Amino acid sequence: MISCTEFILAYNELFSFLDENYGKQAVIEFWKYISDEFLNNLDKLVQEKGIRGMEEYWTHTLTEEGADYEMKVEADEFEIYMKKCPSINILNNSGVKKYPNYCDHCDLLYRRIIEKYGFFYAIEFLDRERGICRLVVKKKNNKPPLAYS
Amino acid sequence: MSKVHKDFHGALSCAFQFLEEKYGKRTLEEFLERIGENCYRSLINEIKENGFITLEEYWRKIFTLEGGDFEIKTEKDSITLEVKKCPAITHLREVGYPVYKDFCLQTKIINSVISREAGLEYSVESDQEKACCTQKFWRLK
Repeated sequence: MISCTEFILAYNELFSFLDENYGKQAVIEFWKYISDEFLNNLDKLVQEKGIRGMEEYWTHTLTEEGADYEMKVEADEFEIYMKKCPSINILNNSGVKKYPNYCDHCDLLYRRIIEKYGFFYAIEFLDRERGICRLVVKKKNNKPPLAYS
Repeated sequence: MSKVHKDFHGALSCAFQFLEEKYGKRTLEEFLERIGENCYRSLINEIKENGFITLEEYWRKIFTLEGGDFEIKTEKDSITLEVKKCPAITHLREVGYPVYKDFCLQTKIINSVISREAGLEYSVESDQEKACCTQKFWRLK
């Protein structure tokens, strides 16, 4: 059994495996597959509860993963400021070769779900090496996040 | 018990499904061999250095962390892990995630790599439906 504590290493290895054997597009196809076939819980929460659903989803996952983050939840806006991404932390401490575009999966996986329910979605990778990023979601009746302008 | 994000087992199951659907079973097997070689290198090196105690400590750590029901039996030239209730399969069923039809293949292939690299013999008998297996590593006398 690959322990869930080792999952990030396997996930990272799969991105590299697909890219090396089938090209970057194969990695993107895999991310789309995971978003469509695995993240049904996030999809359902966003569909039913909107921003509150995002809060519920990420509070659960980031707490279990032991992330260091700040979350801002408002009526029309949701933001996560990730100060220390638990996945990047695992990869940095593992000695394995990190897939260069590892962080990009967080853009595709969640954007694909969130945007279809009438939100803007933006993620800024502030420091990929140290695992610092900012994810911003806004309802589409507001001004878009900075990354859109 | 420490908190761990057991939904990761669901993402892994989904990844296995993707690889088989898109590229075939052999590609999934190649990927698992690669995981064994690249992600378990430090465990392999520790086994080579310290023997079965490394495996025992490793198994106790991960199966306790994940809340598995298991038993370990160590003898002079072998170590056996009996998983009575696999925490990964149990979690996937409880939460309602699909379980890839050959989910236990990961154990078979990765342990084969670990045993080969560490100079040991290995066998596993799995029953995915019952979420149990018996894994054994031994030294040739």
